[in-house]
Amino acid sequence: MGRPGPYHAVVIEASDLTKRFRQLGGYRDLALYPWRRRSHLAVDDISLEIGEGELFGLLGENGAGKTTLIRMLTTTLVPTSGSARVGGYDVVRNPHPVRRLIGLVSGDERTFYWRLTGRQNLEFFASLYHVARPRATRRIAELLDSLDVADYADERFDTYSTGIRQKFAIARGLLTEPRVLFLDEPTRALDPIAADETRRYINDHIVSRLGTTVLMATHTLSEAESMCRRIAIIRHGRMFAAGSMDELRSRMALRDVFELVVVGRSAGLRDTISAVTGLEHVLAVAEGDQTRVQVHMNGRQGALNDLLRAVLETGVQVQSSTMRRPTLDDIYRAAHADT
Amino acid sequence: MRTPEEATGGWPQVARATFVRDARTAMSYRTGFLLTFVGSVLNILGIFFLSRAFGETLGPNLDRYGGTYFAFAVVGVAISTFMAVGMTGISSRIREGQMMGTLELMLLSPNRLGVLLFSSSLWSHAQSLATLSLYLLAGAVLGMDLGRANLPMAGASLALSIVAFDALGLIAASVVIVIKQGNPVSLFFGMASVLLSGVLYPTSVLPQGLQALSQLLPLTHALELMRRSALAGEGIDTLWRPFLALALLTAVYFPIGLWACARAVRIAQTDGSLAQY
Repeated sequence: MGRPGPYHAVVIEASDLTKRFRQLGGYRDLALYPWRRRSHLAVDDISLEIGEGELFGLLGENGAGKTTLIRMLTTTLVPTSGSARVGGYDVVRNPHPVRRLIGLVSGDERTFYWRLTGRQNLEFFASLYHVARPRATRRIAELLDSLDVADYADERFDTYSTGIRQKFAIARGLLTEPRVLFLDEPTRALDPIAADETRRYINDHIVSRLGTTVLMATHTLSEAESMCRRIAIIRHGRMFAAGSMDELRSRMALRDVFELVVVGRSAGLRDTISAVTGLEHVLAVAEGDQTRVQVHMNGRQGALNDLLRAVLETGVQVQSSTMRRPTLDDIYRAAHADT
Repeated sequence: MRTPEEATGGWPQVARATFVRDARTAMSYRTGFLLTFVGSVLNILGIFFLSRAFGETLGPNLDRYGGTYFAFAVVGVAISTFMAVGMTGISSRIREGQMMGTLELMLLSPNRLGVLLFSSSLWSHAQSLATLSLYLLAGAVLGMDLGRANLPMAGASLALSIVAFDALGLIAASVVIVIKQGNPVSLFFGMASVLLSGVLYPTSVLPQGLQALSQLLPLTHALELMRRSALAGEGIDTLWRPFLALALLTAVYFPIGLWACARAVRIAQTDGSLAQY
């Protein structure tokens, strides 16, 4: 189970949360095999704890179960088994208090009234979420300014670009100043610049300034690594690993990565390096007269000295070298290689 | 953090906002909005010429409704249209919510299901009241006599009819939430009502078995009440029987409709189909 650490009050907690969707067959199946009950396991026994003010990442490929997990935590989907609490309230037994605490931003462009203006949409949702009218007017103006979309507010929603629509989705999610914000792939359809702006806004404004607890689903590795203090990797509905980057590295037993670029051809370079003890996952890729080498150090004292000596003895020249810690990309690939 | 003092507004605020949203959306389709009213006027003209051609043959059956076929048919078509709009109003909004992906967000709000459904029906009621007024106005211009109308009784009958038609609308909406496409309940009640409730002819011309069946349809009693109060000027002393029948049907259908909607939402929340269409 991923734990938020000793300094945080737990705001979101899930315990053995499972969702199994019934799969409907056609009339033919119903007639020929009426006893058959087919189902699809979308979320399998997931447990997690997220602390107050934390930005927690849910990482997984499409169909991994991220959105299903978020829908259960936001009370719009009933779990098959297990339990979950948000702000101390059970999402099945007490959905109304949960709904008062949360906001939801999805990457789905629908979810708005396209023939109304952006401002009319926000006014409607503010009323729906019981924000008193003077407060709603002030709040909408603040959000439009901070998201830099005030100039578009009185144009019809169907005239907006995807980036502007996503900013309005974020504004809607923040209308009630929620204690917990669920972001379901908020940068999915955005270009790189708009995605960066959105990430910056989430980090600087929503988390750092407002102190909102954020659960963000994404399949962008760099996004999760750069933004989230803790990350859960979900595969086929199961939580594969969860924790900080250090905890994930430790969980995957991944050591530091040494990268080397050498000039000059050496046919036996890869074999020479592989013969050095204390190295794992040796990779050598030739590009023109350069060879790019990547190895994982297993921690043996002197392994780096032995590696460099062996490389130089082959007659090549070292052009550059870097030692780096395993990135989320390394962890994610290792997770996929494991299963 | 939001405080309880700031989070006031409650269901009237939700109802108002939903009404404004639906009105703005409807007005944005200007041509369709105008054509609806043009269609109503053309409908009245059709009834007018139909009554001139064949109206006299129904003469004796129409005495208790003020005597003229034109007035009888105008009220019949007006109230059945009123029922159709009222009955499909909630399910149409539900369907739009499914298509636009807003239904899940509506249900994510801290509102009771009944408040959301009631709010969703308001614009339809306003629209159907405007259409009804247009029918009656056009009918009056073409010679329909409303001089003897018992307005308090007609008003009370209309109010009860709205609730009765909403009850059918709730049942129809519950089916739409689960099966998405189509609106079979509205279609069934609509067809059955046009056939059996006496929209264009009095129920007295139907065979005994069908007359008994027609008593289960709210439109039968709504038409009886509206015609006899608006055209013949009758009050509760003579209309208590259809009024009671309509109230009883409403008392049965309304809780069924609310229960069915709550059950349908639960099914959709379980099978994950709230946002599907």
